[in-house]
Amino acid sequence: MDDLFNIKFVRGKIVGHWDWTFEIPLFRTVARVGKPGWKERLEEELEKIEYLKRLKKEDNLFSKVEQDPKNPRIFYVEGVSDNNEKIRFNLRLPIRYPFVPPYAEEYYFGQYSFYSYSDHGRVACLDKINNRWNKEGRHGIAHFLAMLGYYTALARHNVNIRSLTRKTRKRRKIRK
Amino acid sequence: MLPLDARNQLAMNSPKMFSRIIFAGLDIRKLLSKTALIGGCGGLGVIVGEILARTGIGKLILIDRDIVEEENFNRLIFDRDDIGQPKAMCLAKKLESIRNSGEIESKFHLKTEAYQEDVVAWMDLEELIGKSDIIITCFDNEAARIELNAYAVALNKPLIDGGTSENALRGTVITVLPGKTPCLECYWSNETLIPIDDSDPEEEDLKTSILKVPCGASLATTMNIIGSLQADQVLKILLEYGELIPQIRISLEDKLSLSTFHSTRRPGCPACGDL
Ligand SMILES: [Zn+2]
Repeated sequence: MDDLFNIKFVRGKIVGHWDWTFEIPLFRTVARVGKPGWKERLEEELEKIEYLKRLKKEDNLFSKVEQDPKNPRIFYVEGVSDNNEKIRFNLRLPIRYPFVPPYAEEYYFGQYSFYSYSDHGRVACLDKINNRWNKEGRHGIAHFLAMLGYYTALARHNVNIRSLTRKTRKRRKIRK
Repeated sequence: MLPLDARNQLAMNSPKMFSRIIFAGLDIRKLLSKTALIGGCGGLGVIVGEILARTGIGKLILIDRDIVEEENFNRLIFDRDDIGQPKAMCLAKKLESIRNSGEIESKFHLKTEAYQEDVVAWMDLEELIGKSDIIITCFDNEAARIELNAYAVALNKPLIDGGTSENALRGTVITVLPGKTPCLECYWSNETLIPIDDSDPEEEDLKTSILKVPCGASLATTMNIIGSLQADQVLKILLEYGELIPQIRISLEDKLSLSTFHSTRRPGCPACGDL
């Protein structure tokens, strides 16, 4: 938890964009796509996406989230970045979702590539989201979008996401 | 394996390019009737693909979402003229040129299908796996591996996975025989799935480090050994000879080693638990 506090501190000071992840309630239903319980899960997904939109409209990057009518594991996401660039990408749900996060196909922000682990020596925020993801499947698309928006804002203000991770790892070690 | 006296006869009736393979005892007639699907045409995929093409596989289905870039040149096969082309199509073309020539009877030609696609949530994947005899995963990410694993297990197709560690000096080959040996999800429980950023190798837990996927660092040395071991397991399955090993690990670090592991399936595995 302490690393998140650290990021908030940095972000609060430099970026002024808030991380909404913690304000979205955890999911009640945990089910894989197409498996028993998925219908209820999907309803909850849509409900939480709406919840995220209501939280703070002016800060939310992603205004439209729509499921592919033919493929239940692909969502189209649209929005506007904080410097007024149009954002459009496909969100794909891996087979182990919600136990692992979704990923944003071909999503680039600043010098970071989202889906590639290493882009010219820099680690994308995918690693960061992976580490924060609720391993019991209680995070969903809304949590993912909140995290993605947050890291996008950080990257846009040239905050090296990886350096944040490094700092907190060292601190944790000392405490042990 | 072919009996000794049959090898000469078959070699005489086959193109010269296969004679040494036949003398080694491999029945290329059997291989020519087989289809292998290779997911990921990077450092490992090109090795497995080239070995299988030269050994006489009938058909290769190649899938990769990326294009060839200069940073891929530390591995084999791709060259400067290929920059900007989709890896899967480019590899298919190169492998076909090894086998498909006018002097060689068409029944010995290599057939290929190539797709520039992201396999996660890709609707055609199930059908492609259904028409393959064996699945080979050479991806640089877990999501893609787990995706192919799920369909391979459901459709009862053997799967051979290869991966190398973050420092590029260690590698793992996993052979999945659905219902018999652990599948990829058996190994990647929730606790071990998530890669943590590149911390010092010495502080890494063996279990997580060995299953990490290649990312920044990669070496042709390690990749070629892993790719060759994958191809070896493929040939053993398709031609039904030799020992299949659920998990092989190699290390080219200070101490050179190859070790084999016969782990058991994880009860309640979401992919193969019901088999
Ligand atoms: Zn399993």
